[in-house]
Amino acid sequence: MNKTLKTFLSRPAGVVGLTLLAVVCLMAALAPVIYPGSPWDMAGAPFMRPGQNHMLMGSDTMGRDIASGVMHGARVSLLIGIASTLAAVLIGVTLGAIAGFSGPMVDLLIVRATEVFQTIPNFVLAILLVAILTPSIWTVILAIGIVSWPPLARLTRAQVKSVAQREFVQAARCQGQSSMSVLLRHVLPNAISPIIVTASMTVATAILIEAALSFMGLGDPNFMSWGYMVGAGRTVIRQAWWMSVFPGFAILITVVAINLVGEALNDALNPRISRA
Amino acid sequence: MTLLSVENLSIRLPKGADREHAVSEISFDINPNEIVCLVGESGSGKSMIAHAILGLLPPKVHADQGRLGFAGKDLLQLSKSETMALRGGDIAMIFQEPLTALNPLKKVGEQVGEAIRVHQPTIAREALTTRVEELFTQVGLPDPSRLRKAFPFQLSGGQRQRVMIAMALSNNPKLLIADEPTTALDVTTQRQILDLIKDLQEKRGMGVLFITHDIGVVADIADKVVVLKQGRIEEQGPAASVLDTPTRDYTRMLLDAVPGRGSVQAGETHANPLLEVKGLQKEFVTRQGLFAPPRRVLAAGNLNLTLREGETLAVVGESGSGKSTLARMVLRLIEADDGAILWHGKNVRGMGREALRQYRRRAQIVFQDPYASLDPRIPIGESIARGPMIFGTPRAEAEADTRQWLDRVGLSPAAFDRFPHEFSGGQRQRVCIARALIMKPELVIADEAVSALDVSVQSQVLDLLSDLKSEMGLSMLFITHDLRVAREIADRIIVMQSGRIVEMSAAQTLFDAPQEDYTRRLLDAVPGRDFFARQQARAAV
Repeated sequence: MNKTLKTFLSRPAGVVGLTLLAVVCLMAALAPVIYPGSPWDMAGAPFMRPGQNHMLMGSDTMGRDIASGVMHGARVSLLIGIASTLAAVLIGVTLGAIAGFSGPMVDLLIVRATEVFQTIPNFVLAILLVAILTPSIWTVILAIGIVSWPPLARLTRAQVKSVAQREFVQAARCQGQSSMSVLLRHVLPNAISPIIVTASMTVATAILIEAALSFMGLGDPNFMSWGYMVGAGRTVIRQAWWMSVFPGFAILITVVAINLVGEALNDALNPRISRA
Repeated sequence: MTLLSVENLSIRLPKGADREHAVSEISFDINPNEIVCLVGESGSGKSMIAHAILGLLPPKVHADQGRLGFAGKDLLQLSKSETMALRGGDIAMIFQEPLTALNPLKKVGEQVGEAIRVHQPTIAREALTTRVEELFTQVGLPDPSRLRKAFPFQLSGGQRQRVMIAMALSNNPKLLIADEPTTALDVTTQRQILDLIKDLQEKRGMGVLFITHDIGVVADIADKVVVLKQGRIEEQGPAASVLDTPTRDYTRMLLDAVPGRGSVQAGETHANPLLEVKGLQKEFVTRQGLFAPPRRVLAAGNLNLTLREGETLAVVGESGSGKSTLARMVLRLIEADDGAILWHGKNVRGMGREALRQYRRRAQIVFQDPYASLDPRIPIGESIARGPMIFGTPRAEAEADTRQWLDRVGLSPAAFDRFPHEFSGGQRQRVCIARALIMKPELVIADEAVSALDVSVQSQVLDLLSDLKSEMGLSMLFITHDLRVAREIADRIIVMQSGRIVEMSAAQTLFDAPQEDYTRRLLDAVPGRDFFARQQARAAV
């Protein structure tokens, strides 16, 4: 474990990504301390420029403090990104592993089911699900999880299929290990790197989908989110760039940080690189 | 006149490599119309020399000393464009793995044509086609006008290597570099390719630098031999003198390590049958298209064989003969279509899950590729210990056992926590053997278990296997394409061809009086056969 950590920290991508991510996490953690009030409350006059009236990032069309919104939004974005990715990974990896490792009939069934989901445009399905289930933070997570699993399932299936043919897997079978143990101990660990990388991308996409949902007014009305802020500031972007730029920048930083961490994690989890 | 003179060449490796120089102070000459063989084990730096000649050294590796004289110039000092003009022009190369060396998405004729067009951009299309077909004829490819339009995957390994040779010859090179061109091929195909290279070299008066680890191949084709060990020349000179009267221990060791000499193993036993295969059938069917008839390949056609307790049975055949499929069917890694596999008289094919698990514990397998058959993410000790743990041995005991086995197969017990990539090929194969034997099996199936190893390592692993076998009273099913290896270890030998058993007899009989034409062909194809026969005759006098 030590060596894995060492490799991770020896990658510039890992250090930069982790630092940025730590900043975002810190923002989420400190939001209620620094801005104890609700981010929805008016803090001053509308259309304040950044720095004016002690508002670091200015205020929006309703006079709400953008900095407070960005800080509080970090909590929502991280929560939704991580929770919905976990949901997607749980569904996708389980189905993909079963499809790749069991007989052709089960495989066919799962692949067809995956294709059904893939033919429906992601975002439309997410909107539909949230609209039917009424917007709340948990329905948003569920909806994003449901639209994000098919690529993970396909990738896992392909990975498992190719790893399952390698000789060390057959060797494990010859040792008498049960199918379950072969799958969990030999096949999945060797198939996992690209899945982790894709999952980290999925966190990023989930944050983007959430942003888009909030942008359309389908976010949880109790939580301030970056997507909502970008959406709200969009109409006045020519007059007040800061309303969309700061939350947009927050999305960008978070997504990049997660991708960098995923990349470094990929190297660190590969013993050939981490032990060389 | 010398064609290529390598003078005092040293190639520096980047920091952190296992030694400072890949090769140091190498000097030898290649004359026109001469085959020079570079012999050495893996890691001796022989391929580095070839790559240096073609300017193909990997990044961070460079020649820091010496001269490569070719046509009055030093190849190390050439500009990039000069090197490119030379590559594939006056100097051409054939690689080891003909499948990966060809572009899988392009027809082979086009690939050869491309090699010509690079050096003669103005050539007309008709002339190009004629030239390609001419080359295909020269390298002995059947039906050139049809084969020209084939994709690499549609050709056999031998045919692909012929295409590679055609490509190398396309601009009439003066020097041909062949880097282990036959290592990935069957004995019979190897023989054909060796004959082809020798024949073309004589016809064209080319100089050939032939890189190999197999001293049998050297004996067959070399005019001159350069023996490399760990980047230094051990010995060089005319083939006859180096091979017949080697002056260095290392050369002698390489010669002695070639398997398949000396007396064969003791003959037949009449112990109880351990494993019986009866009427085993397997056919692989691949659908080719909606309307095309499916392609059928017979992997096992009515196979019958018996393996007795304590016996070693070798199964020999070319690739595609169904020998590996047989091994996998015996363990039910592949299901047979029909027939019976009897283990102590009980049919393996009818076993349920638990019975199969118990059976597999008693019948272990060692795979061909020691790189692929160990889980890269698990320390080797853990890989080995898992076997007994599955069958209820407590962890502490299994680990102690594992350390003991590591010691028994000649590795340090401290290797327990290391990962597969930290070992050499031979060491990994020892790990695989330990993994199989810790289960205390009655039968070990060795599927080409030594084919991927250097000769010297090969003989060590073979010795280890036969020691352990007699110690533990194992039976062994030994699958190999190399008759020399079979001779080294087997009591009885089965020769297979396209899914059928051609001949089955005691090892002695098979070598002294082969019954079938096919067996005789295989025997004749063994590289260096004449040389070793002569040597043996001389030793007998």
